[in-house]
Parts: sequence; C-alpha cells; structure tokens
Amino acid sequence: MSAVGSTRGLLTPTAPTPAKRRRRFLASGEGIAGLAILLFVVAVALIGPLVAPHALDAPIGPPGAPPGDGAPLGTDVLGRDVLSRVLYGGLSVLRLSVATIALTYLIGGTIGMLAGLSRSHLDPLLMRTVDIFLSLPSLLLILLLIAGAGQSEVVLIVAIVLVLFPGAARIVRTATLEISTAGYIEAAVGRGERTVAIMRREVLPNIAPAILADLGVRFSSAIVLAASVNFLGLGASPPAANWGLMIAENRPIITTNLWSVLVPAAFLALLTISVNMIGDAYVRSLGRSDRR
Amino acid sequence: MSSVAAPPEATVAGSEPPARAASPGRPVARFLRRRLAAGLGTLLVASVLIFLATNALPGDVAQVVLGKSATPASVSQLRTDLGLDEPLVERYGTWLAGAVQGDLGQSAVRRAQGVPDAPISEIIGTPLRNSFVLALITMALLVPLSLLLGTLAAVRAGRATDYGVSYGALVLGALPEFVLGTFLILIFFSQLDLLPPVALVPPGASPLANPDALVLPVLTLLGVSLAFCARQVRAGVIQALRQDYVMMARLGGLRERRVLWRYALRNALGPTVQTFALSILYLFGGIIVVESLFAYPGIGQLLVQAVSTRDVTLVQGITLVLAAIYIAVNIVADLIVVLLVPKLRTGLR
Amino acid sequence: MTVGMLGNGSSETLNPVLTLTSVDFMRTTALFDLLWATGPDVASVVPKLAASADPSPDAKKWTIHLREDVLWHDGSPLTADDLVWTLKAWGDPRSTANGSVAPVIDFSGVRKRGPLSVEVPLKLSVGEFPTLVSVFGFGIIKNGSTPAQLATRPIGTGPYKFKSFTAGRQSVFVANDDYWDGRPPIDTLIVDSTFTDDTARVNALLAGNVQVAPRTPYLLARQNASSSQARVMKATAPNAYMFSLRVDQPPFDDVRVRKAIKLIADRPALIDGALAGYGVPGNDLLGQDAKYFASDLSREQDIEQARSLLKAAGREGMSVTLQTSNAAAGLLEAGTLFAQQAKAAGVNVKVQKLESSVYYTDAGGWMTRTFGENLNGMAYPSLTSAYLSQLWTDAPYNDGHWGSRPGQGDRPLFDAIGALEEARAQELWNEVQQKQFEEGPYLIWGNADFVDMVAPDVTGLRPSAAGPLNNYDFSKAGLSA
Repeated sequence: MSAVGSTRGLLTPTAPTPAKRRRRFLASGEGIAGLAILLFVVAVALIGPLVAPHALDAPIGPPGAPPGDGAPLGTDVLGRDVLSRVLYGGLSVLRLSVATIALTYLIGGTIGMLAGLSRSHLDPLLMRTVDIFLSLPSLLLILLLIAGAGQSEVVLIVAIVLVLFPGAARIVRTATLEISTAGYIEAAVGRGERTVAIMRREVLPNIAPAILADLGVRFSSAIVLAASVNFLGLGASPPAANWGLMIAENRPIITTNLWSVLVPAAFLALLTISVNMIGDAYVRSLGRSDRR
Repeated sequence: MSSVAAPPEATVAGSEPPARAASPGRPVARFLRRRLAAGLGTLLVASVLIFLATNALPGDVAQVVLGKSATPASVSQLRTDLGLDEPLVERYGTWLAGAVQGDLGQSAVRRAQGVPDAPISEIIGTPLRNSFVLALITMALLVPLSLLLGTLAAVRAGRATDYGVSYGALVLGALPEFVLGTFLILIFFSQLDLLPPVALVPPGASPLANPDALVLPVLTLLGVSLAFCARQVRAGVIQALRQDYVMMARLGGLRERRVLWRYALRNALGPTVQTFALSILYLFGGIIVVESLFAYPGIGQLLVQAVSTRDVTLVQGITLVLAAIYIAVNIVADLIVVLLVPKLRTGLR
Repeated sequence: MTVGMLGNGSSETLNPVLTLTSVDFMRTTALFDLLWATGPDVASVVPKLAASADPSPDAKKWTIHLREDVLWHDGSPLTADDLVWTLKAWGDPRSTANGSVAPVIDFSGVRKRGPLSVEVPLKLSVGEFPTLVSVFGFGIIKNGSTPAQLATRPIGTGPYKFKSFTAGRQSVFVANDDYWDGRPPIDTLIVDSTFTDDTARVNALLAGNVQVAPRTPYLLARQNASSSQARVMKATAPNAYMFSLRVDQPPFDDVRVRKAIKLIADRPALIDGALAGYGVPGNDLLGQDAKYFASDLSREQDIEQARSLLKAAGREGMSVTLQTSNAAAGLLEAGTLFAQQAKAAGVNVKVQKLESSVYYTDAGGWMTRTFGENLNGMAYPSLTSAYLSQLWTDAPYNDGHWGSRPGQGDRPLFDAIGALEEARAQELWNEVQQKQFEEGPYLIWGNADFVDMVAPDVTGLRPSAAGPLNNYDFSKAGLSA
C-alpha cells in the first residue's frame, strides 16, 4: 500500500519551534508509547541473537510441538525452538526495513525534489516515469525481479524500493512545489547555486516534516510486502529466520502450535504500529491542537 | 488530543501534476483528452518494461513446458516453432500491433503444447470477472465503513472512539493479508466452523452463487484496506474542520451536524475519493495473495502462475489490462473530485 | 467426487504425451490407459491395454499383443495402428516419454505384426522392457490424434471420458460405461486445480469442498491424522528423496568426499523433520522394492569416518552450496536439516533456494548443478527403469553425471539390463548396485510414504507403493451412501 499524502498544513511558516515540537511530542502519551514499543522491538532484534537459548537451525524436538520444557513457545515446522528463532528473526527485518525506507526516500526524494524545483519539461518527464511504476501491480514487480535476479536480500530490497519510491517521489515533489516559491529558494537560485546544493541545504531541511509524516504508511508497506513475498514461496534461503518467513513456514502447524505464528506476527505488528504512532505524534506536534 | 495523518494528495498516478495555471476552453473535455493521452503513453511504456522484464527472466516457456526431460534439441526446436528466436523488437512490434486492435495474442504455453487457438482474452475473461466481483464487494463495504469510522474518529478526535478506531485500524493494517486471512480461517473455520475456508468457483458458475465462501476473502481484503482508508478519511475531515469557513459557520451558530455535513465532509471528499481510487489499485495487488490463500480463481492467481510458467504473452496481457484499469480508475476519480468540489474546477487545464 | 490438486495455470494439459506435473498425470490417468501399470508391490507390472509381450531370445525385439475388448471413448476398437501411432509420438523429442526410451527403442523399426500385435525393436537388450513403459508419460493415444485434439477434446480408453476442461481451474470427466475393466462406480470425476496453496487444499477437504487431496504435505497429514472430517491413507513406498552429487566436478569428483557426505546424513532425523515421520531410511540406491534390489546394503550416520575421509581428501572444513527449491514438499526442509547436520563434520553447506518453476530447467541449473536435491515422486517398477532413467551416461535424468555407455567401459549395467535369466540377472545387478552404493552420485536418505487425504465416505481408492493412490487409479473410486 503506497499512500500518496499531501503536505498541506505541515509546511506553514507558522510551524512551531523545534523546542515546542519536542515538548508537545513528549507530552503526548502516543509518542512516548510508540517510542517505548519501538525500543522494545529493536532491543529484542539486536540483543535477541545473543540471548537465544538454542541455535537458529538445530531441531530440539518434534515439529509443531506446543510450548513445553526447554521450548517456552514450542517448536516450529522443523522442530526448531520458536523462541530462539523469534529472537534471531528481528535483525533481518530491521535491516531490510531500514534499508528499504532509506533507499526509497533517497531515490524518491531526489526525483521528487528535482521535479518540484524544475521549471522545465523535466518535471512532467520524471513524474510520468514514476506513474509507470505506480500502474503496475506491486507484487508483480517484486515477483519478476526475484524470478529474474534470484532470491536474495539485496534483490528483495531493490524490488520493494521499486514499489515504494513512486509514492515517495510524489510526496516530496508536492512538498517541494509548495516551498519552491519561498524567498530562500529564489535567493539561492539567484545566487547561482547548483541544484544539488539547493536541494541539500535549502529544500531538504524544509520538507523534512512532510517526509516524516509520510514515513509510517510506507514503513508498513515495506514490512507487509517483504512478509508477503514469503507467502508466495520466494522468501529468504534457509536457515534464515525472519518474522515474516516464520509466519509463512509455520502456517501448516498453526493448529498444534499457535505461538509459532502468533508471536512473530505480533512482533511484526508491534514494529509497524510503533513507527506509525511515532509518526502520528510527530505530525501532531507540528500543527495546532485537534481539541476543539 | 490525537494524531493527524497526512491526507492524500489530490492527484495520483496517471494524472497530471497539479496545475500551475488555469487555462481557457471547455475544461472537462480538455482534461479528459489530456488524461487519456497521458494514460495511453503510460500504458505503452509500461508494456515495454514488462515485455523486457519477462523476456529477461531465466528459463523460457520452451524450457518450462518441456520440463525435466528437455534436451537442447527439443528446446531449440520448440523455440523456433514459437517464434522465440525472432528479435525482441520484432516480437514486441507484433504484439503491440495486435494489442492496439484489441487482440492480446495467444498464450505462449498453450501454443507450446500444440493448442492451435488459445487467445489471451478468453483465458483472462472469467478470472478477471471473478477478481472484479471480489474487489467490488470489498469496495461496497469499504467506502461506507471507512467514511463512517473515519468521520466518527475525526469528530471525536482525542476521545476513546478516536483511539479505538485509529488503533484498531493500525493493528489490522500492520498485518499482511496472508496473516490476517490465516487467523480468520483459524477462528471462523477451524475453531467455530462457521464459514468455509476456501472460495472455489466452478467454471461457468457465478462467484455470487455461494456467498458464504466470499465472506472470509472479503473480510481479509477489507481489514487491510480499511486500516488505510479510515485513517485517511479521519485526517481529511480533521483538516476540513479546521478550515476558516467551517470556523465561520460554527461561529455563525450553525448546528454542529450541519457544519459537518454541509462543509467539512464535502470538502474532505476530494482527497477521500483519491484514497479510494488508490485502494482499488491496492486491492488488485492484495488480491494476488488472498486468491491463493482462499483458492479463489481470479486474475492475481493467474498472473503468479503465468510468471512461473513463463507464459510471457499471458503476463503481458494481464499486466496491460490491470494497468489500464488502474489508469482509468484514476481518471474517473480525478473527474469525480473536480466535479464534486467546485473550487478545484479552476484547476483544470 | 471432486479431487483437489495443486494447479499450474495455463500450462496444465490433458495430452498424455506432454504431461508435466502431478495434476497432468492425475487427469491423463483417468482418461488414458498405459500398456502396463506398475504393480502395487512394485516388484511386477500389471497388464492394462497389453495382453502379453514376447521378447526375442536376445531381448532386443519385443512383440506386444493388445487386449481384444478395448473401445475408445468414441466407440471404435483399439488396434495395433493405435500403438504404432503412439510409439511414433514417443519418438518425438518433445514428448515426456522420449528422454527415457529414446536410447532404447529403435523407433524407425516399429512394425505392425497383426491386428493387435506390434513389434518393437530395441537398440539394446532389455530383459524387463514392459517396466520401461509402465510409468507416467506412456499413455496410449488413438491413431491420428494430434496435440491440438489431445489438448482440447481427448479421446482415450480410460475409465473416464472427457466432458470439459479449463486449464488452471477445473476439469469434468464422466464415467466410461464401456470401460474394459468395468464402469467406475461414480458418474462424475471433477478435478479442481485452482489451488496454489496446500493448506487451502487441505482446508477444502476438511470443509467438504473436495473429497480427495492426493499427495498431502506430510506435516498437514500428521496434523489431521485424527480428524473426523478426513482419513489419511498412506503406503510405504520407494519414493526416493535424495541429494545429488556431481561426480565429474570438485569437490565430489573425489569418491572419498562423496562417501563422507553420505555418512554425514542422519537419515532418521531427516525423515522425522522433513517428512513428519512418514518414511523409511534409504540406502543410497534407486529402485527400492523392485526385483533384484539390494536391500541388504545400508548406511548410517558416521561423523568420525566422514571427518577422516574428508581429511584424507584434503577437504576438511570445506564449503559447498546446495541448490534446492520448494518444488516438492520436504526438499527445502531436508536441505535445511542436512546443512545443520553437516556442521558436525565441519562441512559448511550453504543452502541456496531457487524458484521452483525453473529448478528443473537449464536456466535453473538442472543437469549442471554440483549439489542439488530431488524427489522421484513415483516408484521405479524395475532396476532397469531406474538405471536407464538416472544412472548411465546419456540417461535423461543423470544429474550426477554417472555411468558408462553401452558397449564401452564396464559392462555389468548393460549386461544386467539385457539379462533374461533370473539368477544371472541377480548376480549382475548385485555387482552394479554394490558399485553404485560405494561410489554413486546419490545420497538417498529416505523413501517417503505416499500420503493422501480423503473424505471419510470415499471408497475404492487404495494407497500403494507404486504411486500416490496407486498412481491415481480412480477406476474403482466411489462414495459410500
């Protein structure tokens, strides 16, 4: 799902100062809760592999066994410890989502800013190109790329970026367009500064709020797409553990060991929910209060 | 206090960038002409891309059809018979010439098996209709539900209702379809035995003949889309409620409900229509997974299988149709928006 | 009765000469007949359309005599011309059958020898020729059938007649009143291949949408073994799961390395983990249960010996990439488990998962990969059939690049294949299998059961060692009232 959001109301000159924003953000239960959940999930992902009781790939019992001695969350489809695999499985999810989001905004952001600043035919040209990618079913793009280039993490990242960057490019373009008539931009152009410099020094800091507000939805999409690839049987090679793969591979044993599906699903959900909560709280800290 | 998600932009793919100047003439006709031209251009380039991508895949239809017992001689003979030896440009040209006249060509796999006549249009007809039915039912529920929940959350912003709706939506939206669907099957079939876990449709039958079977697939699609749409509606309404004319109306003593209907909702409609247009595209993507999960014979499943059997012409045909639907939906959505929201009409060029 | 099968979209076919996947096998078996079928015990073949067959004294020429009472679905009788036409179709390099019989049958010499008799000359002596044509891909087609007609309006001799077919969706067949082996008890056999997900297929069975789900993944069968909605049928079978080691490339060109790999496998653990316990350990030999099979040979895990063999070969701590896919249930799981077991011997196995649709194509590395995984999925009715398919130089499925040509190098294999006298054949096959056991390219760790799930009221289907549901034999299938 790639949301195409607007930036209206986020880039007004009356935006609150950073200090006020921070105060508002911290004062909201939502922002704090989101941060706390995110920290928890990240901690599990980072520290998990160090504290996992069992190896990632060694069977410790019969497949699909319910929780019991030595396996508090039971065993998975191959008889491996679910808890250990959950603990190992976060790192690649984090790596993949961070890499995807960073690349999405790097590419989408560059295209969007170029288009937004352009006074020439570059703008329609870039945006038409972006439209082409938007018009193709998202999973098809991923499917074709994986079928063509093999099943690896790098290919998956590139594929998801291909799906997500058009939306990001549109957001950034709209935001750039809104500020492009601002004095500081015109001044920079007048000084004859290079486009790249203008983009980095003048545009980026001023459109950052729009990007941050958009990040939650796109983050969810990245996670959902990466997990769905596992369902189609095109996920990571074994013995990799990641939460999406775990859900897909343990689906057949859901009736004997629900935890093998539920726990990785819960972690995926917590990750996306927390990022969205933080995004929401951030957006709210920018604007006027909703309270009437 | 609550959150404000960014409302969707008033233009999505296939549409012109926001106008920088209004132009004279009959605006709606001009708008349609421009959009259609741009849409066709997008389609053309998209078809080139898909053609190149499918042809670049390792393994071609000759290899896949001959399978494990293929010999180099039999593969090259079949390739020649199917015209796979001809240059790419020539093959694309032939395909395009046909597509322009409404002929999407013949299934490469069926031809490889010696079937003399296997038109793509015949193969994709029924699955396309089935997917359409699924998408339409989902939309029919999605639009009123997300309008209701989104508006409710917006007018109750910061209260329990708002949090209930917003977080409920977040949780549903955080799970991929196959996870949500798996849990729904577990609850409604394995545990409660209330609903069928698969939605088989015999050829020639209507998917509506067995409405029970559609409940879980629709719920799965709905859950994920509702999350997105309800949050967007909520944000749009909150945005509209803040506008000066709404404030003025309130100060002028209009009743709150009237303010809401007369001013806020109407103006929130623009971005909302775009959100729904986007969710149709999304439905067609999500349908790939849902159809497989519930064994529903739709276009998504056909597409996945066509990629794996390297039925290049079939992939090409399905993609073209889906892209065309997507572009058409966007043009219609934009048209609805400009017709509904008078102030935007000046934005036509 | 509705049968739920995993589908393959537009590539599904009713042409028995071009069958590719399980769903094609299943459908063509309902519409067409073989000359012989693999017997339920695998040690023999049972006659279908063939009444008998006589070899020449040197077993280089076989005369096949057809049954007299067989009618095609259009009412015309089966004749020798039909068999001559069918043999011509097998001679086409595109046919499924071609790979395994092209080196054996001299297609140009096939002659009609009577209204129901056909003489088939061979390029080499084969003592058990009927077993070569008693597997999938060898359905008998009517004189004059074209691929177009077979794909759209097939006329067979099988227990069911064609009614309708939509590739990737559903086929409807009706009982053949004139079937030579008796009319099937049910009127209509529907095969639904909308499924792309096995869990959905089993759910459909539990919900009553389908009555038969052949080749159920092991774990799903295990889960539902005690369900009141379904019955799990299983047959111990020579359904070989194997790792293939390419003998002409490092590191497996060294016989010590091959042997070490075979010693690393913990076979019972692989069966428990990858097959949910549905299977028996394999002994690295193909053709389990077939006549002349060397069941006295066996191999167990021995990490110490594996280590010392690797050390002797200078391959301590070696790394190898195992190419696998989820082309069949259990392959990926077995690869994963084996990689973990190999650590104990200091071998680093990197598992590389390939897209299942290209796993068996040139582009996916089929026949060129150094280290891969396969499942036979059916029983070889004879050692001749097994070795001619997989274990000589020009064998169509010789992915381990093993063997010798007829007339060259070591003779035992082709002498064994040509032997008509049992004691002599046994002696020669023992020799062939001993060498294969010690040096061959396969680590055959398990012979998986054929496991099928059916609704409680289904009758007349039987599990057998020959193949899933006795090779999809639906001719006696029924539903109890």
